[in-house]
Amino acid sequence: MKTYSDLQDIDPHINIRINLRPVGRPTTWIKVNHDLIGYTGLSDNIQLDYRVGLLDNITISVELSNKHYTTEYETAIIIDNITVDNIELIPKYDYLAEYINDHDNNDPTSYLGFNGKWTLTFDRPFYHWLHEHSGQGWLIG
Amino acid sequence: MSFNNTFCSSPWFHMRITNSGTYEPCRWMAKDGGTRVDFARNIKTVSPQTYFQNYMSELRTELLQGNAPAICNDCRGMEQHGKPSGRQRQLLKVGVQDKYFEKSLASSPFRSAFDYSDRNQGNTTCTVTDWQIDLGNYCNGACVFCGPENSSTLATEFKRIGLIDQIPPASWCDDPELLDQFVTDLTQSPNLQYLHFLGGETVITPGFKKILSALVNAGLAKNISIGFTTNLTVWSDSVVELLTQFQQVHLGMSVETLTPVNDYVRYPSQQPRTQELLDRWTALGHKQGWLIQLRITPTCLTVHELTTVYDYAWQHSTAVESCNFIDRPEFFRIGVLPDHQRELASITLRSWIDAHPVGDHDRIVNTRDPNMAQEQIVQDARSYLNYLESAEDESSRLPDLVVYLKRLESSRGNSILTYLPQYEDILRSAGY
Repeated sequence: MKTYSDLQDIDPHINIRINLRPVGRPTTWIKVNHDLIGYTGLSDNIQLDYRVGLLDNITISVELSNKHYTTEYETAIIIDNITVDNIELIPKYDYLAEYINDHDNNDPTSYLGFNGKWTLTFDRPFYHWLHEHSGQGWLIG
Repeated sequence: MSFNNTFCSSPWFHMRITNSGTYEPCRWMAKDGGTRVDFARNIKTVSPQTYFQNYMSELRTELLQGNAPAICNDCRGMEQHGKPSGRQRQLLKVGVQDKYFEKSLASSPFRSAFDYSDRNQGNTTCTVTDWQIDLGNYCNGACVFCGPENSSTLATEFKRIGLIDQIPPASWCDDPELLDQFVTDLTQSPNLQYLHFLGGETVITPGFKKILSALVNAGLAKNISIGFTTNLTVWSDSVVELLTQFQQVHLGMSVETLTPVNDYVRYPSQQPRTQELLDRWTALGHKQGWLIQLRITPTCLTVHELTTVYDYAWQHSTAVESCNFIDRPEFFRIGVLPDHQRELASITLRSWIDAHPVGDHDRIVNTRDPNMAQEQIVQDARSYLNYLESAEDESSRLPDLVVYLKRLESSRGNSILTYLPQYEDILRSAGY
């Protein structure tokens, strides 16, 4: 950028990258803002990329289903990392995620071992959210 | 210089009224090298909003065009030594972080305001959200590095010993009509969020209490944050009572060292009283959830004992910060110390930093984040170590320092050597 006008040339999107690691063969649904970006009986690590508007609110969810606890004791999905524009969010901010599951075990985690849904919500533009949660102080406007 | 090193958001939400009632665009504005203060634009001639929206357009345009205005030189100097600058702080208030400059600027809540000014020759429809209000020089202190424009006690002393011919004119806020007019402007101003007051000693300045009372009475206090700095010589229950009604308080406490040197430099402070008030304000700040800081102005007389302040701050998880590297009077700059003394101060500071390890972190611009207080203290210490190691050699100014101190001491009946015996050789060699 040389002048403010050059800001018009900036990509008005943010890039989300999700890295998942299966334990066993978990049935997993991965969504960003209700768009299904991954559905699989995972057996290998997977990396998913998705773009959303710079000013969009974002909801990322990872859902584990069809786990049979008696026969698949160890089956799980591990969220190795989530980055937005190469900024690492997990595990640093996993305490901000909501984890609803059939064992009512809602402790912050990125290791999903129960049937249920893990959701990380950015209820404002991503960089405003980051400003607040990385302790940058008040935001005017 | 690239755009992300020159752009500043401050002229879209901040301005200052100086002791004389003149408006300025920025509290960090450089005091030399191209400062263009328009004395015709003051509280008697134009409303703050008109000044802000119209007369600051040229500055906004310069910034949008990627220029580096001379009035921003002080911020560039701070950034050069790894110290968070006013520019970086003001950018942060609109969500723009150095590390993610382009994307965070593009998604800033002020994006549409910047766009508007870019299309309209720097004009803006924004209003002042963040004020610096200079209340005049009413002060019971006479710090050696201060000046008559900021201390009425020093002004009286300077006149008595012939350092000035006339005491500075009264502050704009000593005029009841102007103060009423300003208070009315404030209470009618939309989106007012932060008022930073500067004295003199704010706690005993009548204008401070009057403005706080007016905002409380207008029912605005719960939405406004107040910033001020006290010199740790006074306490006022009535001011504290007013302050507790505001949304947030940013409390600065001025101290240079927690040793008797502080008594000489921040004359006529007395160490036991300073310590008592430091503890009292700190306890109040923690109890109220205020954001508190120790405010230092390191000079060639105090930099070697700076670690005593860092120690207190570390123990109380309280940030330490100076607004700026001292520029005037020139003979108080740290660079005035000869190499040997600078090296000793560097060793002390380096040892302190080594003894206070902190985890890896990005550079802290929000220096008031209580969760990062200890990291911020170390960051501040590192900036002074960097400054000690790289500042220009100005030891040729030592004779000027000696002349000045002797003049003050003739009035005060004290001696620098009582407090700094280790400086005897260098001061004697410079004519002490």
